[in-house]
Amino acid sequence: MRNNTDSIAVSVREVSKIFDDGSGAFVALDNVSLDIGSNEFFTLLGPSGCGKTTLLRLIAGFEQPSQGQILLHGENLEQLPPFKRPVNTVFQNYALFPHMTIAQNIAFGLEMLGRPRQEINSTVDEMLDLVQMKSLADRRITQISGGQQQRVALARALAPKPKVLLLDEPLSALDLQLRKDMQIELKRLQLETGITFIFVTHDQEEALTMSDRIAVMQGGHILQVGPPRDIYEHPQHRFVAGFIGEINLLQATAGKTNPEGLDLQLGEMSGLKTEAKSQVTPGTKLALAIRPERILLAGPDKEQLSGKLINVVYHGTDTLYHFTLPDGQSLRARRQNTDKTGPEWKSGDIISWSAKPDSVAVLED
Amino acid sequence: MSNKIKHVGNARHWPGLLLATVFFFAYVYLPIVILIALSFNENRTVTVWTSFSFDWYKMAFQNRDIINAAGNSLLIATVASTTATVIATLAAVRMSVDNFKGKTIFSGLVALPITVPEIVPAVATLMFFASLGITLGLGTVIIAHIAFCIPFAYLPIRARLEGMDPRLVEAATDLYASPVKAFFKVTLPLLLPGILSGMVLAFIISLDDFVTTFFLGGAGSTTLPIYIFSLVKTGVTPEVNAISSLMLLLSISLVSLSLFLGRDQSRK
Repeated sequence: MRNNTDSIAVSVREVSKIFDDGSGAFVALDNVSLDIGSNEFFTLLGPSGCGKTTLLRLIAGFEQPSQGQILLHGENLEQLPPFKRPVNTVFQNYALFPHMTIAQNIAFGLEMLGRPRQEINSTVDEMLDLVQMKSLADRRITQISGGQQQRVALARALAPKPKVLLLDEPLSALDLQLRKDMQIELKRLQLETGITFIFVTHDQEEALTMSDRIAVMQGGHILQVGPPRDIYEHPQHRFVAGFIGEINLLQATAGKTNPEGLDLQLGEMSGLKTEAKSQVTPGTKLALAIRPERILLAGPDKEQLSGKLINVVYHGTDTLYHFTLPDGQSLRARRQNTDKTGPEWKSGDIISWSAKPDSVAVLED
Repeated sequence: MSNKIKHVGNARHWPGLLLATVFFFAYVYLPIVILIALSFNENRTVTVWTSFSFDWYKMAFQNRDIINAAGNSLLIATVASTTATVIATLAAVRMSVDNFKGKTIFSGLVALPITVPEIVPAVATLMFFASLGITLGLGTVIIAHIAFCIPFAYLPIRARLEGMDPRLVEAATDLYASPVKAFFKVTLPLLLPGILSGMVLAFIISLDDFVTTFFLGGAGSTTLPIYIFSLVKTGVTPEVNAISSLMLLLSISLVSLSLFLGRDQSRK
């Protein structure tokens, strides 16, 4: 039991948050429960308004839950104001103190904790090293670039060695290349410091590249929690499937269940199978999700599964093929460009395709 | 033809505008320029120029009544502007964090005294003190000055607060600063230019005030504007010109200081 609470950094228990501005109530979080492990890089992913930032602000203590409780290493945070929580935040716009130098910004948390001057100085040096900003220690915040401000914000939040670091879309203001560099940097910092990171983003690529686990949120609910590969390969909801990566959503009818899996009908067309998890009554309507890169294109031989090629889009590393299936549904397939010249298929050609049973996901709605 | 059309919208080509602008500057500043020039006039008759001299300034500085009046003016302005600034700062900080019904009305009420004819609150305050049986003097003048200084101190502070990112205070509390520490370490330093700007503005307003001081003053509370007014009643002397010029110089310096302090450095 003790072991269990030790390995869980943050435990969110049946938390709801309702904002009421007098003219109407808005449910930002609806009965959300979540356990985040120690030393985990955990990402809250979802579109704007899904409640991810609200959850972060509840953990930081800037807002109080309307219902439920949040535990930090087993301790109920309810009565603790933000300045007594061993949790630090990296804000979306960094919120660096403009009247202080870089070093003074980083020292702020330690000074407020009343640490001895010597310890503050050495920690500030260590942090400046960690984010590679040593030469700029005495610069003002207004004199450095956005990417540098980002590093200072990280150093400032890490300096007091919090138990949990909260990051509120910290990369959204950076340009693409810098964002990619910072993704690697963040992951490195998390591994080096061993601090639990809770990262909020609406960018699925960011979530996939950095996270140990992802919680996909929508409309104040957590739809699915799992490692990136799990979320990508086994989306359980239509929303999760569509939000992360590209996906084909198909309507199918269940057929017989046999040892290799469950037979599926796409209109009149059969030949597609999925791994059967439980018994499904034949004739049940199912929602399927198949990633475009999992569609295997065979060529113009007449096999069981086929589609009419509508459009070909060349992307360099791969080529995207748009098909219309015999029952009118559309299908996209990605094919790696493994050689310089691709197959000479034209719009209007009938191409046969297949997909492995484990590449075909059945969605809950 | 096309040239003409192009220039119709450009105010540079409207007839008479240049003349009106020149007239405007002359209208406002010529009397002041003449006053300053005449303060250096050696001749006792104000309207006749003879030669340049500092005599009237010397005389002004040797006049005990003027020194006393200037002392009163500075005392009243210092006490009134500092007190008003403290009250205005506290009110502005509180008003910025609260969202209550009718906030817009209250924000308007804070600025309203600036637009109300000064004679109204002056008479009202006079009646108030009279009904309480308080003897008019330096004290009553200071109390009244604090009242009309508050809105002038409040506005620059409020403007500064509005431009301040609320996340900065959140960041401070996130970094273990109690609300009191967050105020002194983050809010106050960032607000300081606005506070100083408001204080200087309140100081000038108090220094230049005539109506309120005239109504609420008593024995021993004569300020410079009141003293100048009493001098003028017995005839304008170049000495009045000298004192007025000095007050003008002080006001201009302070307004410049206020504008300098109030400029927004944090915006790039």
